[in-house]
Amino acid sequence: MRLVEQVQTGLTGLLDHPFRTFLTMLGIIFGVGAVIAMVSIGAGAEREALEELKKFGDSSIRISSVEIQGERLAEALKKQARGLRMTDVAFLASACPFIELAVPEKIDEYGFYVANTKPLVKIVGVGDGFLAASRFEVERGRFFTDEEQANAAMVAVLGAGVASEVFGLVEPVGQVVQIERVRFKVVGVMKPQGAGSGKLAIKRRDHDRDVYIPVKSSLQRLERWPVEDKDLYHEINSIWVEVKSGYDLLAARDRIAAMLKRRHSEVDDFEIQVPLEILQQSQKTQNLFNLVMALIAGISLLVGGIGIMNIMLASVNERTREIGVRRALGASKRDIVVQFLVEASLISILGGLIGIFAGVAISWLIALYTGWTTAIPLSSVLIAFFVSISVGIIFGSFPAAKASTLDPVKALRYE
Amino acid sequence: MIKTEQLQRHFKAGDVCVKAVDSLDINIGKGEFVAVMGPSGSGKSTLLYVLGAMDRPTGGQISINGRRLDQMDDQQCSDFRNRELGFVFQSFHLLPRMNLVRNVELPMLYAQIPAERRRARAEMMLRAVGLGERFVHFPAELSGGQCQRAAIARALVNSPALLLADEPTGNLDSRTGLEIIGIFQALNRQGMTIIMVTHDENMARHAGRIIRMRDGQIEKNETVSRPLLSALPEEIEKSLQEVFHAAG
Repeated sequence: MRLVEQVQTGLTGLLDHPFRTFLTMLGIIFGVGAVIAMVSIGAGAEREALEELKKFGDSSIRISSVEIQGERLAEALKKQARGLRMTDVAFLASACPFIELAVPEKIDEYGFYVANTKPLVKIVGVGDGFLAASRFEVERGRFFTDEEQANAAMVAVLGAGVASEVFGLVEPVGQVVQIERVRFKVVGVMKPQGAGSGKLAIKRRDHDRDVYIPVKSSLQRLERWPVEDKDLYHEINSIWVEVKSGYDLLAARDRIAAMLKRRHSEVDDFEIQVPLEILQQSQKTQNLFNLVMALIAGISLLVGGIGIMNIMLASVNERTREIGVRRALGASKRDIVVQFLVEASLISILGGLIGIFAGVAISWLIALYTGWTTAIPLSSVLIAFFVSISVGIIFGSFPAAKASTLDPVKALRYE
Repeated sequence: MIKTEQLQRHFKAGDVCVKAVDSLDINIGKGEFVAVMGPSGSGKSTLLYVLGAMDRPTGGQISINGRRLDQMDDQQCSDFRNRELGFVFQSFHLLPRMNLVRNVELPMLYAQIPAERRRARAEMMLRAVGLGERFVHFPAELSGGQCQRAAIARALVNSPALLLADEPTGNLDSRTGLEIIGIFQALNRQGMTIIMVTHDENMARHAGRIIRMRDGQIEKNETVSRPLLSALPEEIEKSLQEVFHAAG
């Protein structure tokens, strides 16, 4: 009997009991759907992490200040430690031959005034090389010149969100804004960056609500008064470091950590993050997540397979006489095996196909309602599909073998 | 055509050996119509299934058209059942979820005959047994006699030389039973060898020979000098002739 005819016969057999067939398929549908949906979440997270890494760069190191208070602060001050400072930036740039760029960043929540409005923004003082280190781009106007940086000029570049909120359709470049009591001239607007999702576990704020000014302007013109010790401890919030190509990033990280710790009198007042390393860790976590998901999906498919075997065994029992008739009419054992295997495989193939659609739909709904990035790799669809076919074949084998070994005469007389 | 020597089919039931067929020597020539009779448990159905390669003998030899059935493997037995013989059963054994054409097509499916030829041949066979208007009917929609005629069409569809019938009239009233016997006689007139197991003496009297069995052995082997004749509608007789001529 040809395969096409076996498939037709199998389909007819399944359609004789559509509801039972559907119920049998459910295990496979859930299994495959779960695999696709879970993989899509994992793949989406991985894709997002990679995109974030692109933003940070695969040669960057981020040194961030760690706030210390109370006794620890008193002890640090006793040790003459002064937190993360501009001198650290200059020191790293001169003492570390592997550093391409070291860019200071100072973040404050100064009052920001435009006309009669006071939008909530972060005032970010940044040093030379910020654009190269951050990989941000200017959309309109320009960034600060070296001269403006050196002279602590009163110029500002607005984040895209701030620019559109404050100025709407009016061109922001050339306008004047006020930070605390100082007036700054807007010289540029950044490209929209989008809010960070935090997939890399690196603190990323919404850069579109930043207002950039030269770091010297921030330090020299915008100091708050009065201030507490803890506010004075760190001069800057972070340093963006770009390592020259050819240098080992982790070794560079260790070297910087050792040097800074010595400069900071062994006070743990900073932390160093390497986005690439975090990505690798995140990938390890992702792999573990994928393994757990694969196990869950595997169990689901196993349950689905047992369901198929159960129904196929019931079907063999129910159709014992039919098997006898077919044998009497010339069906070989192989024909009977193929007939039942085709039926089991059809259940799993159809279940797999429906499961794929269900998985895609679930993934889409997750993305829609949670805002997570999801991605469905073709490989996961293909693997899920082939695994579901295999489940049908594996779990259909025993009932098929049982059907083929029935004594034809006894099968014919079966009541 | 059919020759058995010391044919045995013994079953083990616990410690007891049941000799369903015991040391049987039979010779049946080509074109014979033989009825096999005997009380329940005499081994007549077992004999029929052994002759039909459905059951394997436990001893002795059996050859049909020179081919040794006792030496065939499962695949060869399947091919033999498919191409060399046709089965007709007491309870018809049509598959209930298939219409008549698809039921009759079944043996051709296993003979790997292309769909178009299959369909045409199945329709021709159904017409030949007087079911030309019932192609798409399901077995549950037909009378017993019609079901048995469809089963005969199915048995003949691969043009076998031998027809084996196990109580073919057992589930039919006597009038319908005689119709079926009429078809058998018409087929036999076309040269088909028929072996029919029956309990009914009257039906058996339509065959050319009656083999009476008891306890797995032949009790009596008698030739019917003047077999009874069962009239068959002329058009069925004619169409059966046409089918046989078409099959060559």
